[in-house]
Amino acid sequence: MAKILLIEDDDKLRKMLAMLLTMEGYTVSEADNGRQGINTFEKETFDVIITDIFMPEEDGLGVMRTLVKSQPDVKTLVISGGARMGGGMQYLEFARLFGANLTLVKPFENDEFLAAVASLVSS
Amino acid sequence: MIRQAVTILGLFAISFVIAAEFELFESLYELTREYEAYQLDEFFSLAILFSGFMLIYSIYTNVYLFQAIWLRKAAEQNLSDLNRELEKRVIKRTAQLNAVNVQLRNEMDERAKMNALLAQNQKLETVGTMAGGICHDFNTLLGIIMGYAGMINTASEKAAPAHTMSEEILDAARRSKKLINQLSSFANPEKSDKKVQSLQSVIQDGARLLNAALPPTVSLSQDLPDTPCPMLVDADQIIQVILNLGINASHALEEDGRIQISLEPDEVDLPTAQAKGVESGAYFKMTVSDTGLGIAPEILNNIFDPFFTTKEVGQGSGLGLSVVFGIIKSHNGFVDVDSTPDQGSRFMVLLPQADIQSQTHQDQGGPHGQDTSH
Repeated sequence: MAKILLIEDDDKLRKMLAMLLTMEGYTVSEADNGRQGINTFEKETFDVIITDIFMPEEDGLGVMRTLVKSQPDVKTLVISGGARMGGGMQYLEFARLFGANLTLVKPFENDEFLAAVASLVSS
Repeated sequence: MIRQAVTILGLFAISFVIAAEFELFESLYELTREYEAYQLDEFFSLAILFSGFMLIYSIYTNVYLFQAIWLRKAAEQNLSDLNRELEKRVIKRTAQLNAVNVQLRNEMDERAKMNALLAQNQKLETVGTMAGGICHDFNTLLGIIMGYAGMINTASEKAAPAHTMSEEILDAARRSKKLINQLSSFANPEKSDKKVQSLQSVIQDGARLLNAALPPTVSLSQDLPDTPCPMLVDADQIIQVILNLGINASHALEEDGRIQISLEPDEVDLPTAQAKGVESGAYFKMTVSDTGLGIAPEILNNIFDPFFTTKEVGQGSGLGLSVVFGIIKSHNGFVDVDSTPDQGSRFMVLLPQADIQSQTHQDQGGPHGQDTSH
């Protein structure tokens, strides 16, 4: 089954998404900030990487920059609920410019999320 | 001048009297000699001489008094003239000071008004920034709620209470999501799709949608200019503005109420522009007016605040006008309101023509001949 790396700084949301993916049969690894996420995918290979944008240490755009250079074939889903100071949604557009395959605005429906992951896994 | 004239006259009079006195003295001398001839007493001669001097003194005193009275009268006249002149000057100066005072008071009122507008604008911007933060946190929390509720819903049998309960949680979370989206569009109306288009056609589209949402007792009319009003706008957002303002207006209407949407060119002067945080110059003014209950003056400053509502709980989110504020701000314009209790309200949306001018300028690669200042 596909291996997924989930990078999200909110513990509860990350746990929930990890549970949802695990219930679908995916193998999930978790990272609670961008730096930890980069360290993880540099050691291990994943089919899909799901990352938030606004995180401590390294943000999702930093994750995308590193990933595109080192593993351009890995599929990515970038999720965001907007920025604390406004302007969050345009970062999803930046993420697409940085090479994100799909983006989702939080909060999303489980079906919506799973369908996005499934389409990345199968592509 | 008068004093000198009177003094000269006095001196003439005295000289004349002295000369006359000499004549008299000579005559008296002659007489005395004659009296001597008649052997009259010398005493009489001295008495006559003394009376002559008394006469001279009396004439001199009279002349002096006459001169003093004239001088006094002249001085009084002079003083009265000066007083009148002074009064005139005081009246003139007082009038000037009053005019300056009125001007100063007007300027102070205007400044106070502008300061209040500026403060209101800054407050809304601060609230917008705060709203951005709230949106981010709420979206994450809602994500958790929707995620777990969705899992419970999927895992439970359709007949099971957990299924129904999770449906309710999901429903509430979806409504919250919608609310947060509205708040987000106030905080940061960024998903903008601006195109150069005729404001008239955007307003007509908005009015068509609004008409469908209004109760049949409310009549909606439009007053749009024949000359095209091209603008760089996000049509969906402007329609949203029309809907929010129109639906708000309909809530203030009694039966047979009227709503009118009008459009006209307008100018924004520098003080207003500074207070509103926009550029001065040519604008288009879209007005949504109603014949409703109006807005109480004491709440007029709060109506654009997020979550401010006068509607009963559950009847309005209090975000409608905040969304309007956010959208118009993203179009570099501003919203003004003018309301009289029991007579109705007018919401004036001002959109700068500068955007379309610069856009046309860029498109044509040089100065353009299009006159948008009609």
